[in-house]
Amino acid sequence: MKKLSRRGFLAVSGTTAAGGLLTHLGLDLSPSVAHAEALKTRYARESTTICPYCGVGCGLIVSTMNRNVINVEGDPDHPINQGALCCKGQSLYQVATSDRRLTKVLYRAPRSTEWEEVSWEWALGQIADRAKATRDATFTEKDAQGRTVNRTHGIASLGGAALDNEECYLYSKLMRALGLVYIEHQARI
Amino acid sequence: MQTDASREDALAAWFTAVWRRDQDSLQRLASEAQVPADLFDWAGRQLCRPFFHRLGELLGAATSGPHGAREPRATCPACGGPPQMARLEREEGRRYLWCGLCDVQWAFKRVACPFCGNSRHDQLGYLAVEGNERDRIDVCEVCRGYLRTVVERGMQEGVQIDFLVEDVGTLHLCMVAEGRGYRPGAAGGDSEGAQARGSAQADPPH
Repeated sequence: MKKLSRRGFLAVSGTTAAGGLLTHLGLDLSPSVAHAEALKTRYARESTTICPYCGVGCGLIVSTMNRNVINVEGDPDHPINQGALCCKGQSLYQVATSDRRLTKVLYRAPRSTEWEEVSWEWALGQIADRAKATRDATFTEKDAQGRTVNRTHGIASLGGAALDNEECYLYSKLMRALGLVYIEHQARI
Repeated sequence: MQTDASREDALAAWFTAVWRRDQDSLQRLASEAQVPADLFDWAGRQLCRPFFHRLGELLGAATSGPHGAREPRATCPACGGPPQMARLEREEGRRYLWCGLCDVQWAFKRVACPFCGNSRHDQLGYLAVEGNERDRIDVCEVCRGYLRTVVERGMQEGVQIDFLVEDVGTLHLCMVAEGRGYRPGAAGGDSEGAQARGSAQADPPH
């Protein structure tokens, strides 16, 4: 066992005045030293971020250990939520850790009762094909008075709060290019 | 033989050096008194404590409470010294720092080093003790300072921690931290801290 001199201990305890008193009273510190040597520690980090769900934008502190999320809690220093989180925000930890989280695209065909696993490529192709088909079928070039409108009332768009500013910009641009008129965002409700 | 006045002067110089953490003066006074410098510093702190406790009590109303400190500050609102321990309060996880000299607590930011002010996430961390959810050691990779922290969330409701007890009870955590190269109350603009800041950049995290 490592022996700790008085001088060494004073250096160890630093400003720990009460601890210093113990040695000066002649108490044996070796149990503490042994305890310290036996302890296993792990290095963790805390990072601040913003909740991805609604438009309120609550602050979070995420703790990680070896790049794995070990805890998510409300940031007490954040001016919006001051440490509090709604129940959905409190369960955010599961977004990173739950084994029930979907990792593959699932597709249920019309009138089918079964979900089937499909590729991203196929799913994205289907979304594009169907959006195009609906848009073409409902597209209006001119209104009743003969004015050029180039629009569709057949599709509406609702943006989610997880989209950031730049994503929203590109997204609304794409929707307008398709001729959509009903373009909404969750943050405006 | 010393006169009463010169004794008082010597005592004042001693207390002032202890309070200001003035290492040069402490070294000088200790060598004049022919006492080891660390013992001299330690004894000075013990002698000062009752006075600073009283000061802390007098200022208590201004410093306690969840929103006592409007601006988060790193140093003790009573004596201006660095914190000795911290706790993360149960409800919102707010961090309170504790001064060992004055026994005063005050609110401070969670993700920032109270010793050097570093607030970069990738330069801050904590040592979690395996099998112990309650105690942890917050560390800063910039100044290499450490701060023992009690996590109150998960503790039995209604239990109040007593920092004077925690201070002694978590002595082994000091040894753990210092065994890994961290220092108590590190940095803060002194030469020691500046050196640490210079050398800490190259240190890889654990």
